[in-house]
Amino acid sequence: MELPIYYPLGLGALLFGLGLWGALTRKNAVRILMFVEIMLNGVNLNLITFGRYYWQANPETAARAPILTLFVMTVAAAEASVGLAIILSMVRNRDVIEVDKATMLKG
Amino acid sequence: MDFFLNNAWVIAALPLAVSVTIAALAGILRDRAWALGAGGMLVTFLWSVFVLAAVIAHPHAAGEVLYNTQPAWHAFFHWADFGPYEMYMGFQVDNLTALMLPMITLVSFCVQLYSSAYLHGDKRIPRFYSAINLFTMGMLVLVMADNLFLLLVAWEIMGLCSYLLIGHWYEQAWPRYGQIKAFLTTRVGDIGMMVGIFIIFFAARDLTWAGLAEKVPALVQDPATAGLLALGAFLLFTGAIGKSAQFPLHTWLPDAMAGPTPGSAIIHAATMVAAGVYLVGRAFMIYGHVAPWVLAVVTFVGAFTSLFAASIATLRWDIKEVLAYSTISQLGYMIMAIGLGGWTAGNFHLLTHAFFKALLFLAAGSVIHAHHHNQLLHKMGGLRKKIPVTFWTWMVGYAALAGIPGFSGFFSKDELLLAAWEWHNPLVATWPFWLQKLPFIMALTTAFVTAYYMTRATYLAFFGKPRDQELYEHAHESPRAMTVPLVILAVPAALFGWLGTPLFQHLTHADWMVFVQNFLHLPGLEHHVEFSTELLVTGMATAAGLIGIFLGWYLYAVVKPEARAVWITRLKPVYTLLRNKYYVDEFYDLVVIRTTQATSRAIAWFDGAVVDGLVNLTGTVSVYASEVAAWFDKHVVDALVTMWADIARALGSALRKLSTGYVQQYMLTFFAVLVAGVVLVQVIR
Repeated sequence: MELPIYYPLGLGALLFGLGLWGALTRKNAVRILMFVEIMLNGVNLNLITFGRYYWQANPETAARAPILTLFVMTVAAAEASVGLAIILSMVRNRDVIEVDKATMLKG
Repeated sequence: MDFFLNNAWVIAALPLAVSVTIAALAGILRDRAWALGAGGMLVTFLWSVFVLAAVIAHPHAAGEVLYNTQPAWHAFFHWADFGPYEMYMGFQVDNLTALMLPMITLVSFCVQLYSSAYLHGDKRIPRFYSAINLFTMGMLVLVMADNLFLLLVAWEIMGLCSYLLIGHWYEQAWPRYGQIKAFLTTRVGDIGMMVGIFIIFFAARDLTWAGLAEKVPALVQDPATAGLLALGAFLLFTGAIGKSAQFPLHTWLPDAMAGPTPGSAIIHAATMVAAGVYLVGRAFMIYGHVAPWVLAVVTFVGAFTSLFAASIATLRWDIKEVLAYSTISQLGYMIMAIGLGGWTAGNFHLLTHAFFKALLFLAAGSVIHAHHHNQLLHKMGGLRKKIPVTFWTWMVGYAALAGIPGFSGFFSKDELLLAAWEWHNPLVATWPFWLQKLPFIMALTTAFVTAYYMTRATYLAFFGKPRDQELYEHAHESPRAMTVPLVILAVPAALFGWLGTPLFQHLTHADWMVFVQNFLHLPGLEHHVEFSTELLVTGMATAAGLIGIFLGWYLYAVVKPEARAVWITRLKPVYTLLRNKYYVDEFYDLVVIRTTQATSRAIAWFDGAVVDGLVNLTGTVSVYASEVAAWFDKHVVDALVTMWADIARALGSALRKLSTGYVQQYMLTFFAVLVAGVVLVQVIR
């Protein structure tokens, strides 16, 4: 039986919303990073769902569907590493992990 | 012989080399410079004689002399292009040049030999010899030049050398004054001459003698070109007025006496002053064809100058000054003769005068030398027994100048008076009779006055009782080096004129007389003169001379000085006028020099008050204008620039408030804008 498209899309939206909520409310930089990852996963789920439903009719193009997802995953990994590095150096130099205390870029 | 003719350039090159050598080795040569100078000039003289012999032997010698279309030797090279016109530079030797060369070199040789004794002990002997050789070179180049341009160059070289020679004793004021005066006065004429050369080049597009002789007869057919050429010829003559010391530019010559006497001899006999006469004679292919008024002007300038200067010479007390005014007078004769169309008479007189005037100057120098550098006639007297050689040679020069029959000056003066009597000029033919004969009357009067003043000077110097006993006692004959040149020069001064007489031709029957006769009796210019007319003129000239001599002798030997004083008081105005040389110098001082000074002062005032004022005004205006501009810069331009900076700063401080530093705020803003954008897109659709 064919899984209705609303389920995966709904799950993706739920994940994105959860991630957004967490990213905006948490103070700890590591947590914010984790919630950003959740947002990305929600987006990835969205992308893979559309890929599955739009391109399944044509087997030749079906293989291309997950490419954007793979890009996002790669960028997410890179982003996590860079973000973690920034956070590490921030903690090391200033002994601060809360983002509302790191406001040196205030204009 | 032809070897000498074909290498005639040596005649100009050798004195130049000698001059340069003496100047370069001045420190080594010192008093011995005369040997090099006189030796070199002797070689040059011999070379010139051989050139003359070669020219006489040349087949062209019998041909046309006047326009020199076929010189015996001509060497030239292509010098420059002025657009379509080519200019050539070169030397030529024709009959006139060939006759001039031995004269110049002989006089120069005698002068240099003479100076070895005259300038003994002088501290600037090499300078004198270097200048005199350069001077001679200038005159030799001038007579050998085949074009007007090279002639002008040689002309200016002589101007420089006369400056150097006159100012030989430049520690004293008079030589300094004299050299500057000579240089500047001749310069006045030279300016006219240069403009004349430009005009002639403009009209004829040629400056070579051969080219002018060919082109001028055709060019004068056109009235416009003929007028231009007449103007050019007249301006060329102003150069001769300056160089040959004609009225009104004669004033430099008496002051040129400030130099050493041998220098005066070469300046006033053989070289510089002869150059002006030579120029008019050489350029006769122009003068002979242009409007007759030009030659009439030349005639009257010459005639007036001769009488004018002779009358001044009657009352000079300086023996050299007498000779100086006599030179001016005789140059006026030559100029007048050429103006009359008596081309040969003028050039003949130029040659004879060069010999006897050089002789007289050197003899006067010998008198001065013997008299311990006293030049004043009223301290001399009775010197004939003390200095016999000088006396007898002076008497030869005196006889030639006074026109005693048999001496050279007599023959040339006779030719000259004949030319004045037989004045052939299309313009003159329309004049009244007395005006036609006026040059003759003036020339005859000059002959009389000349005989008078020469007798006076001779009597005062050599005859009578010594007026200054102490000077007389110490007087002594000059050394051999000074008397030998006098004797050498006395020979042509006495005999040169015989060349012009038919008698000489009858006696000798020499082939080379054809040359002389061709020189003296030009085909084309010669008018047939009745023998009776010739005899009449000769008689009048001789009579005028003898009366002058008698008057001079009577007034100074017979009449007592007291009686002379009475006459002087009676003729006071004339006496004062003549004593003061007609006030020409004072006139120049008043008109030219004072005017120049006043003009200079006025210009200086104008410079100081008006020009400087304008400059200062401009400066002040600039300062004020700059201040206005500075204010504008500061308050307008700067304000505009600052305004943009202020705007940028205001915008910045407004916008920086958005940058709070809270990462989550950014994130929220970003998300809100994203949502808003999506919603907006949906709504617009």
